[in-house]
Amino acid sequence: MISQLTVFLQNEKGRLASACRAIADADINMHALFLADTQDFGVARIFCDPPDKACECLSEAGYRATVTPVIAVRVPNVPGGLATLLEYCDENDMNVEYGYCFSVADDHAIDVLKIEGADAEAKLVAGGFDIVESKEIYEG
Amino acid sequence: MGRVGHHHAHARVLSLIRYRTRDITRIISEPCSCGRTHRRIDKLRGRTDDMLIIRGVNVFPSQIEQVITEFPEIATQYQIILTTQGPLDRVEIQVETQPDFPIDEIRKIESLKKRLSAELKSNLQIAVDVKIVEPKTIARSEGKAKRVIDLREGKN
Repeated sequence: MISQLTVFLQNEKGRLASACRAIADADINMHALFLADTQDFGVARIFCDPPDKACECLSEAGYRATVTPVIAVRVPNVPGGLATLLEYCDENDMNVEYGYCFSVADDHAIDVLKIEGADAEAKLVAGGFDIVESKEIYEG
Repeated sequence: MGRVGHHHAHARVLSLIRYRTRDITRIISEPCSCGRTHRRIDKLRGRTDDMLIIRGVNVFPSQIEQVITEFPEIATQYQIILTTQGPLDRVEIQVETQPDFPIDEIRKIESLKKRLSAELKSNLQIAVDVKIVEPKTIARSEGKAKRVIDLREGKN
């Protein structure tokens, strides 16, 4: 499990900019940001180092922020990398709540998934998937 | 539910006849647990001047508050925003989630919204739009809170 910073934002002009500024003012660097938006609100899912400090700073500034445990899987950066992972989840009845991917190096990509159930990570390890540890991404 | 009015039976100089307090409450006919048998009035539930007329339906903010307090996921702050949309009144109810609500899952937020608007609709008899907002959007007030913002045409 690794920590993802989650911020609830109103779907209004300038909200994302102001949240990003709050993180920047705390001198925290973001590695990745994914936005899920609906008609009246959006949820920003962020990888930054350290996530706990960022969450604290945002909460102090009045944002609804939280740190959510998610599973990050290192997959080969080739066609079908994500498909294989998701097929495995499907075959093993693991319900994926949401997910996103990013590439950090040429040879592999990181697929981040929020999966229902406490045993999801163990199931993926049993399936031979390469789970990314928190310390591999975060220094803090 | 009804309105409270006072009569003064004994004053000889300044008598009060049907003094309307504008309070809303109900009469309790059953005897009190202390043994007193006289009819009593319940806690005051609101005031008639709090009453909103939305699309011709009488709505008390206290009814909305009652519904909101039944949802533990939702914080006690709320705001009612009334606007005019075409020929009709539009009601938006802004609420905040409790800090421990799992905000990372859109599905859970949407489902909470849906359950709350269904409950409000069945309670108030009118459709309302529920909007979940960021914590600091709803002004915290000390003492009497400003819960209703009426932006309807011809109201102010």
